Amino acid sequence: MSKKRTLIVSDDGNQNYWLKITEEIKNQIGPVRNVSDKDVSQQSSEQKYDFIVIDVSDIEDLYRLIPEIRRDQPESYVVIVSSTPTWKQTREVIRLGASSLIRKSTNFEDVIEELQSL
Amino acid sequence: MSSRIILMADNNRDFLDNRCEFLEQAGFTVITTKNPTDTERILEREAVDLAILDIRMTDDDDPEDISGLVLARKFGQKLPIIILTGFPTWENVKTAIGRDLNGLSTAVDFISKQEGPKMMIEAVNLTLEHPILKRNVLCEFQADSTQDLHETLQKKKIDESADKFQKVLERTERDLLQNRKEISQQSERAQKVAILMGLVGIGVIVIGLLLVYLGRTPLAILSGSASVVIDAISVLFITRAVQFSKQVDKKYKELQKIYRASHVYSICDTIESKSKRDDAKVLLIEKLMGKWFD
Repeated sequence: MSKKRTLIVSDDGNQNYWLKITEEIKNQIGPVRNVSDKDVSQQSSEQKYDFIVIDVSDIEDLYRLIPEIRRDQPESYVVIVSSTPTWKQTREVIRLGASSLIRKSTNFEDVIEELQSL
Repeated sequence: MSSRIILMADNNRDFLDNRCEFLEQAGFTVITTKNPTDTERILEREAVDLAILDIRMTDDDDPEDISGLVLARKFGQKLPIIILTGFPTWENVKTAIGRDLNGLSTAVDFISKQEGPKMMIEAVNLTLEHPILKRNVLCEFQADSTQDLHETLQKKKIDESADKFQKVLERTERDLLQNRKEISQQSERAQKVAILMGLVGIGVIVIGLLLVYLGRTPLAILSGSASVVIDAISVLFITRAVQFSKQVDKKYKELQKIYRASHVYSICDTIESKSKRDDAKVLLIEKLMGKWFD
């Protein structure tokens, strides 16, 4: 797998969960950058990313953020991570432009697997 | 729109009849099927514009039954498919409308049976007429449905609506161009395979003639049969390439509409008086939204 660039959008970048994922993505997929939802617009308009991972629990206005990211990064694969996904939430985020949704579980490898499967 | 043919597949006869009535009242011609085998047969043989597939088409009590999704995976790139289920789960939504790396999905929409016939008709209309444009409009204006969109438009200030409308046009243009590029590439691939198979077929025919000349009749017959099969495959790929070309033409026509809308919108911006400029923009947005959604 060639090196792919990943952007993680989470307001709590120091969370153990995201620290582990960041490390794993660095080792297995390629360079990673962590940003909060406040800084994501600037970051996504400056640099192109192959994968954008968004932690839904930390985002204030997801319904504004996804279309904005989609506009800046039309070719990225946008994954939403949710602790308690519902079918309506999944449909909503995909309709807004996300590519996929995964459950935020203690097993952080789910996120890595999803990205590696692409 | 009245001539559009919809295939609706569901193992519940009463539900199927009920929804079929709504679709016919909305002006569609409806074909119904009650099991995966008949559904697959129709999808392979009939010219259907859109299919509405139940997920559990074999056994309603079996959570492992995803026969509708299996069919959607098989035919999803051939025609638009809407998944309609009585048992919605987030995993099924992800499987049905989640996208791959190329931005392609198995189905175009996912609806729960509990959302009622009105939502189903709306999803069908949304899918058949300018689906990319309509989706972008609803997404940009953060509206769940067309009814919701009209209310949202009335609440927003003109500057905000105009800005969002312009973004919709830009995004739709970009999406349509990308979409057209992908379909063109698929068409080219199908054409290449068709030409290759055609050449192989001709080669096999020449070998067959040579074998006849050499008096090896059984081998010549074998060669003739092989060439028939290879040429049939070639014809299949030609048909596929023609289907892709038609889709490319459709995208081109949609793009022309977007370009025209962008052009008229840019003319509004040249009006000097702000109040008249705003009035013109409001009128244009209302007219176009009315035309696209009603």
